[in-house]
Amino acid sequence: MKIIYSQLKQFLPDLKHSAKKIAEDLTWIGHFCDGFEQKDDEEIISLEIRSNRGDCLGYLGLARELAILYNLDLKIPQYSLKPTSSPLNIKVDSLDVKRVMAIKIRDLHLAESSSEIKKFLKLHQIGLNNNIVDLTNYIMLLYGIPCHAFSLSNDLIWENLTTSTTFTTLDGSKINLPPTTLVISHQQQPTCLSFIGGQNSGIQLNTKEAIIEMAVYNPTRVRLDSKKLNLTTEASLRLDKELDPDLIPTAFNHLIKLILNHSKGHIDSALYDYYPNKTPHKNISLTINPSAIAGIKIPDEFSQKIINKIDIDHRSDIESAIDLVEEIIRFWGFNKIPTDQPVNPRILPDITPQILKNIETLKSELLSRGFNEVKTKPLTNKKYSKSIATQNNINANLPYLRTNLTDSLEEQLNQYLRLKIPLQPFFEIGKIYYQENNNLVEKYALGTFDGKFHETIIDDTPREFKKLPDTFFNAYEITSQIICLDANLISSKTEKELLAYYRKAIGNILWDIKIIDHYRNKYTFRVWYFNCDDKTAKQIHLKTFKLTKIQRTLSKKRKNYTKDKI
Amino acid sequence: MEDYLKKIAECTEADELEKLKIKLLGRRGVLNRLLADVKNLPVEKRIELNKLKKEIETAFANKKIETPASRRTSLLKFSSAKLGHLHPLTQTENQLNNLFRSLGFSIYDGPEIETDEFCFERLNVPQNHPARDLQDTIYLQEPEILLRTQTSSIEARLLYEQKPPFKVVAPGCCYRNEKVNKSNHFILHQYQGVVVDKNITLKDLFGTLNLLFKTLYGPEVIIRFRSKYYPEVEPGVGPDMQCFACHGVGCPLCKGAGWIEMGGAGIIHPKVLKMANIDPCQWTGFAFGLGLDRWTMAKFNLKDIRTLLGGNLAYKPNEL
Repeated sequence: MKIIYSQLKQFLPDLKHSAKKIAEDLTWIGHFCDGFEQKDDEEIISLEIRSNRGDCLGYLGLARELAILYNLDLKIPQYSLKPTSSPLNIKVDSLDVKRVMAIKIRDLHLAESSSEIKKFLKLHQIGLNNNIVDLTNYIMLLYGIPCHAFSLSNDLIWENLTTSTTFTTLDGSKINLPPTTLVISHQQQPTCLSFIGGQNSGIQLNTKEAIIEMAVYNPTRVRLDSKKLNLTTEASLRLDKELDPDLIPTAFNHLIKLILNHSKGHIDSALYDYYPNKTPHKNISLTINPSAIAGIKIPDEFSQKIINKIDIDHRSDIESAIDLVEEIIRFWGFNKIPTDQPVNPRILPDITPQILKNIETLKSELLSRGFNEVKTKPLTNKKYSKSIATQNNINANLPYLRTNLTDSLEEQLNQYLRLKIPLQPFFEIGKIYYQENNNLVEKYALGTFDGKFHETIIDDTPREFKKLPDTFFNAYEITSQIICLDANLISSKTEKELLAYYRKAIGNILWDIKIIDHYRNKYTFRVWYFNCDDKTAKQIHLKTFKLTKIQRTLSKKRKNYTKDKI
Repeated sequence: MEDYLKKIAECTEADELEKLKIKLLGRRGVLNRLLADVKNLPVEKRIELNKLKKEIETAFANKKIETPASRRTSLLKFSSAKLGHLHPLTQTENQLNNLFRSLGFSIYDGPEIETDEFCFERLNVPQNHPARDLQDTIYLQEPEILLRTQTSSIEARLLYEQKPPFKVVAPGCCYRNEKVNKSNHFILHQYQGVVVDKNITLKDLFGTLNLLFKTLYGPEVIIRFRSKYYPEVEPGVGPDMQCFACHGVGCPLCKGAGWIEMGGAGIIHPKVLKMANIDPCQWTGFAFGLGLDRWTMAKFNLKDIRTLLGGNLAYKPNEL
């Protein structure tokens, strides 16, 4: 919603605050200022209006907020009309209509709008038309309630379609209306939708007679219609929110007065007012103490003042005491609440589920074993018999939830290979999803890749992850020096086989074993022994590698290789 | 004399060097013997001798031989422990989890396959709220079973499953039915926080969130809290962070606003507590939800949001 600063004074004649200040203050009270510009000697504030504040999609609503914030008097122009006695031939036959006001005007003289109206609409980036249409747009922006002019003199019915019908909008595009769409029909044909006009009833330059209407509908109906037709207009943006039907007479009278003044026309019918279920008067008392919610002292007099100033009957978003509390804190100022006092750090019983703790332990173990964590998309194009399908995912290439992690990790591996990234082992802990006896099940799973894929479901019992890849608990107490010995060996086996064999052969005094040199079938091993004395280590070393004497560590002498005995 | 200098240069063993030093510079060393009758020598000879002595001294000083101690450290070559890396999102989550554990919070979890009841109804999202639109929600069995669109569904589960008081944070991913491109993903990662206790106020919420942002972004960060609307909270607030690129002036990064929206928060709506059979007269609480993706992208300098899930994310091996 854009507002021109100078135009706010229509409703707030005593407004003294600068446009910048207003933009800042409106942001604090919930209407986020997302742009500020100066154009044609005017200051324009662009605001993001909260979806429950349809009333603020017009100047009047924002003026109401400022009147409370700055303690100003609000001036709402009141006009009265002089309708004739001849009734209008129109009817409402839909439960989605909350209120309609309409009147017929004759002897219209259509022309260009006045320069002020033209400038106003231009700054709001609304296309110009003739003086009647421009005025309906002007009033919509002023009061936040859309209105419409028909180049028809009788026979309008508000109804929900029972069959699908085609409809031509004002700009000439043909659309197909599904059943239940709310339309305004003329001679059994839809001539207008709730939020967009039709071509066959648009105001033309030669139009002499017109029916002007202003209405408020069930917002859900308008939203559904607008979504189904994939059409958004300035009117639909307002009508799909809760608007105040009691504001219609004020805005409507203002509109008719302006039309009569600008087009020299005359009222030619009685005033039609359909309003079957009047908004009941609200009675909400402040049963919650605002200070107890804000955490700071807000004086009772201030609370009372705000409650008196807010016209809760005009505010559909206020339903209960907590809503009043919000209003009070909002106007008192969120910026007055200190931000340096976090919640009391007292310890409450730990309700962290065991599975989350398991996952955390698992991750740090895998990390220490050199595994990198990856995350992949939980949706896939691979279908299995127990796959769960999404019904409306617009990313059509990913229609199923994954039933295993290995597929995802394989994809990741392929990507790494494509990018020629030197491989390191990696893992993912994520959810897998499948159907089981008509139930949709999701489970945490661990998938690893270290040359081959491994996958297991993580359960919330601590027992479960003991099954996972071998040594997890490798912290040791060291009681004597670590002994490092080398061995030269000739073997036809692969490095991996040799290492695996000697790891096993040496057993629990092995700290680490590495191949430090390798030429064709000649290997040099370096072995670290721990928690055993020098003599034992040497004995075991000689025995394991079938050596006759200890080969000196760091020896530069020619190596004597012995044949492996595996 | 030149021979001695050569010997020093050639010497490789520390013990030999020490012997040589004693032989040359010792009390009864070669040099001292020469200097003994220095007074009988002509001036030129004296200068020459002095020069020689200095030369030998510097030769010894410059000569470095691995002593047993230095050899020991070089033997201690680090067997480079290959440590793995956590995913950037996990790192961010851990950072926050650690903060909240220190404030006495538990970590919580909830299902991603959710029901309409827990994703919307119990959070006071009215039937006609735009969030319910087909366009935004991925359904598995319309209209009842869906993929959660927000981590607030964990809040609804928590309120239903646990008895207050509790303090909980919950990281999790959620799904929106949106097209994927460089800056938008249909899978979002959020961080939810819920506290229900006696006398919980906006002051507690503001203080906690402020601490959170300072932990993530550093102590100089400026946060403001403004009024905002979310159905599950009342009053609702939105924390904004002052744009770190322009410091509130307005720039392309913050789209001219000077501030960046960080998420949503507020005091839990009494209706939401009532639906979970928690007496709103006795208990109050706050809740907040933040997006983690953008922050993580900024921290790790990722330009494409798709990198976060699979694909082009890799870890450079550590240098140790």
